[in-house]
Amino acid sequence: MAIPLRDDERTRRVPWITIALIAVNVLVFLFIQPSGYQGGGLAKPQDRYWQQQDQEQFAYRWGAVACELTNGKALAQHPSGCHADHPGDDLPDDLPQGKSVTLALLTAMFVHGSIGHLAGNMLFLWVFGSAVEDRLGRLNYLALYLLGGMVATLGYVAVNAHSPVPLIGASGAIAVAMGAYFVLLPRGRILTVIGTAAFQVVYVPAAVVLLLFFVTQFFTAPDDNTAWEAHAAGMVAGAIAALVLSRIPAVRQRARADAADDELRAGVTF
Amino acid sequence: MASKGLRLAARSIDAAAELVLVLLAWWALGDIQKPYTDLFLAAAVISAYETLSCLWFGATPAMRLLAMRVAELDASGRPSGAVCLRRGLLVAVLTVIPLIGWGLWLASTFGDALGRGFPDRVAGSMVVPDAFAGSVATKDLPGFADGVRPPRLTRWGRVGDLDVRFRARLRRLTDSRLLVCAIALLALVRAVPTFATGEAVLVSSALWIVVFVAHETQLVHRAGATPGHVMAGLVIISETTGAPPSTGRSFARALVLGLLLYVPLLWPVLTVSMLMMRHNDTGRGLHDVAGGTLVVADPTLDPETQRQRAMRMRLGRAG
Repeated sequence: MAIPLRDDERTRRVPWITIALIAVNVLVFLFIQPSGYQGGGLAKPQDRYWQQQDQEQFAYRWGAVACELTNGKALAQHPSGCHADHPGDDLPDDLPQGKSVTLALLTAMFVHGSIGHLAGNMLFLWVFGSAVEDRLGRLNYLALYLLGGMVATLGYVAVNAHSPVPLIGASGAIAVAMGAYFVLLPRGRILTVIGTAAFQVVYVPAAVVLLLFFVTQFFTAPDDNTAWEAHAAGMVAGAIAALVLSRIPAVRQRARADAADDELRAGVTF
Repeated sequence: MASKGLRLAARSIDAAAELVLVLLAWWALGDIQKPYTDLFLAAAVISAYETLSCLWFGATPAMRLLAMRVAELDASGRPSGAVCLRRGLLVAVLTVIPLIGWGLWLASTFGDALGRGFPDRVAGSMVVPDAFAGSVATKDLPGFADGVRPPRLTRWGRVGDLDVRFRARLRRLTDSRLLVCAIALLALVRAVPTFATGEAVLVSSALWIVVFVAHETQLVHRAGATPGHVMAGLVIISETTGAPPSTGRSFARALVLGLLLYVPLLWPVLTVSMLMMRHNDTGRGLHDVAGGTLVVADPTLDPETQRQRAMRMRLGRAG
């Protein structure tokens, strides 16, 4: 288990977009998602059943479903082209009507499956997103996050074209920010908690953290409910986009100013 | 600085007032099926109470009652909005996490020489008596901390203070390239499903402790210091000879230190060791006892350089 705590790159301004994205994700989870995602409160089995149905319906309404995106039709439409391949799939009793399949690419990024899922994603977003926002500028970063997140989801769809399982979570978009970090701030270091039987807190070069994250995605266990394909696609998309965005004059100017600041600080004595 | 007893009393009164407000918020807006939403509401109420009172009165109501105020470092007058917000958020987070959060607040406040807990350190503030009319400068904090407790002296020199040693150790560990290489290797090994077993985790952790002990032994025996100690102006010496410890003593010291630092089951013993370092006359923890060592100010440096290095370490500006 490795948990990033913060990076050692100094930022020039408050990362408002990252803060806003975190706030939206948290508020959606706390106030809009059904209570089943918070897993508390109901004793009767029948109540729990309805709570679970609510939860699944919500995921199917706002989550990105690969076979819906492949066929361009919602599961509730007949024929949708999804059921035949997966007769044993456990779909909710009432599938949401009138779902916009394309809009789900965007909304899926703001829905999370549990408090742990949300907390982990928001931590990664804070650590990597704030530095990328500082370097790219607010609008570029917001566009990168939203468009990149959609590309990451499409990466998952490309590999699981007929899956009727809804994909939710911001991790694809966060992987985009991580890929961009790799290109824009290759010399950054991440203070990381390494929790095995021995317990360490150490600054690890960002390149090492990000490469390890990328490589380990390909070893994700098949029964693990993680859309590792979205993570891998997101990192590649983020790195490519950052290469393009880093040619914008304003971004190049910020990179030069950061490098000059680093040199100044290196010479500072107390 | 304000007395720690008074601060604890003020925190207790504020916590009681906050509890009443949180219960009211839960009654009006709470949902028993959404425990995390309720927790968020509690944090929002506490944060608003702390932030707004700090902003409007320069202190929480209980602090006002007990004649204390929040002072922003390097500024005069009432603390700014950013400082109050950061402080309020931290207090709220620590308050809504039972036991761990309360423990962290107490440990950080009472363990710090100047009584600056995590909220004050993050916000860049300090709680002072109302009667104190001046402002507090960041650069003066280490000097104040020095003045809180008279220096402990041995025949080999001044004993390194616990907070400086703690930060030096943290710098040495968090900046270790060897550690990064080991971690990267272990992570790659663990990523391969064949090796992803409990035994592999245990073996990799044990291997890391072996690497740490070997590296630490070499550093302490050869140079009498780790890079963190050098930055802090400290040296590790044998208590009998005043020279860097022998290989055997360095090994014993590194082994005890490695086990205490890296085996979570032994952290209660690490706590005892830190209390020993804080309170005994020679500043020796269990690893120093095992190695027969002392950590003192580097005698090859003049006193002003020693003091400056310790101050830099305390301010987080060592390098």
